[in-house]
Amino acid sequence: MKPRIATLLNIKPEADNVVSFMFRYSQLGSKPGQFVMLWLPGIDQKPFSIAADNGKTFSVAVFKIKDFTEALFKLKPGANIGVTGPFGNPYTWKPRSHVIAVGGGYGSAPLAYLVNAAKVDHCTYEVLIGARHKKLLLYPTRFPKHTYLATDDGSAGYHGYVTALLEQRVSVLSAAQRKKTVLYVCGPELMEYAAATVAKKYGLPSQISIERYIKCGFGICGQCCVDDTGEPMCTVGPVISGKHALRLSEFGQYHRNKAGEMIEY
Amino acid sequence: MKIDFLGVRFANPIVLASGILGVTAASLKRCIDLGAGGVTIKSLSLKSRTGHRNPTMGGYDHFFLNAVGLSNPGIEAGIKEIKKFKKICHAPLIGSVFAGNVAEFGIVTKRICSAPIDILEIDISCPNVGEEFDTPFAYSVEAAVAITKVVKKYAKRVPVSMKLSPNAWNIGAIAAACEQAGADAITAINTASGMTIDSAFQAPFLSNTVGGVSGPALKPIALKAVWDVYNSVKRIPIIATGGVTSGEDAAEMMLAGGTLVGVGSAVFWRGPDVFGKIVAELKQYMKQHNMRNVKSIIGKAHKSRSA
Repeated sequence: MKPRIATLLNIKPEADNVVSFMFRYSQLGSKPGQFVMLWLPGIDQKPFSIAADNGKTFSVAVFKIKDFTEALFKLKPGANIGVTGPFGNPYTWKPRSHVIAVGGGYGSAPLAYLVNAAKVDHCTYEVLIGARHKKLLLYPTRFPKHTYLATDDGSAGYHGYVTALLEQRVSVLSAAQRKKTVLYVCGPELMEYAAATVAKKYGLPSQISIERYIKCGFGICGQCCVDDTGEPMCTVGPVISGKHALRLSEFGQYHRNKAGEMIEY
Repeated sequence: MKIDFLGVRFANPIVLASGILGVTAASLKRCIDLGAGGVTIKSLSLKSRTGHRNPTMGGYDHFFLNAVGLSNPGIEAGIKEIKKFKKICHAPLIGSVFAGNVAEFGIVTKRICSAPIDILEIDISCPNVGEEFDTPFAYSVEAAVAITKVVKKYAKRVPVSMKLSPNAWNIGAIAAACEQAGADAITAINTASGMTIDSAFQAPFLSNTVGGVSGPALKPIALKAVWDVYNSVKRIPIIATGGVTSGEDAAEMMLAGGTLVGVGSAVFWRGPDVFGKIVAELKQYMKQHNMRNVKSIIGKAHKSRSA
């Protein structure tokens, strides 16, 4: 799996410290929920959820953290990076189902890809986006009339957690609607845990994108294996069912860092 | 397929090699559930290490290349995982440690042997940390002997297998010297030094520039190393590791002299259930060749040569 060259076409600021990078890259062949490894020779190689892929270009939404993302943020259109992937288990949906996408922080990126794909299959949808503050909301206007916002400080939309907003939305669904509803979740793990718990409470299926420290991305190194199943999240995940997630003893409790040390949430 | 190795009973001779998947108790147990007869934990050091920056690994048609840089949570966190493994799984666990100098090998050995490991593998042959640790100890008879002596002193009840390198020109002599110094077994081999250069980016692919080659390309090198070690040691058994992806490969490693067979990067080509697949294929091989006892394969190719 040699990296292929992708050329940066377009950079678009999305929120505070979040930028969309669009690359020219033919036939990535990804599905929503999968990720790519982006390589900057001499700097590092990191996993990123795919935010869009039309067969000619793909996009990722990047939150600036440290060395690698800082280097990405300095790239100018025309710059080349190395791409491997797509990797991982994607989101799945049935035609004409009702999609409730719940994104926290920069988790909206793969969910936007999912919603666009599900729309083609005549799914109905609503998008719930949460952040600490309105300036941190990712894609607040991407799906007008279908988007519900939540902020911890009340600066936009619902004042409180997006998972509380989710429960409000779910509780007003008719029995007929509930039968065809699936929750799709991506965000900070404690928010995901709360969303999975809401899904369980209302008997709704859910699909959750689990983030763990990834080194190889294809199930070899064991860095992203979770307790107690030992499954690597880069191949069995990142998307697993909410039921599956709630069976993992570490879900919502702790994760492991680059050295393999446990870090509590 | 049951086999005894240093007094430890393995359900089959296929063991997870160190460095693949085996970071946590749960991931080690999953390898047992998927068919391995035993597992080797990823090597532990006194302090935690984050290892090298990415890319740390690449998989290709015929080989795998890695330079993870010995990342691990440190010996104390590792001991917790070992204890947890033994609570959730009865299969044999091979501990693995490395250190930067002889004295530190003694300290980590003492610590890990306080945990319920069945066998201890001593990694003196990682080719990917040269800048930090200088030349691997496995390249020199003197260094290998000094480390064998110190780990044997501190391992007490736990049998010790020294993991050697194909990069040493005299692996047979080093294995014999380790045996003389008290080693209970030899693990042959670690990865061979290598690198890939990305032609499109005109740069080395690994962040560490150089790494260790495993996978099918390593198999003939591993077979020759196991062959040499088997000829050089007097009594001690071999954990034969390097490039095994099928039951036939495993049989070849045993024919060369391996008692247990390590499997690691085969997971890349055949998935995490590769252990069970290899065991089934090895059974099939034995059936085809009218072999009832798996032990009868060990070293058999040597006998055919002298006949």
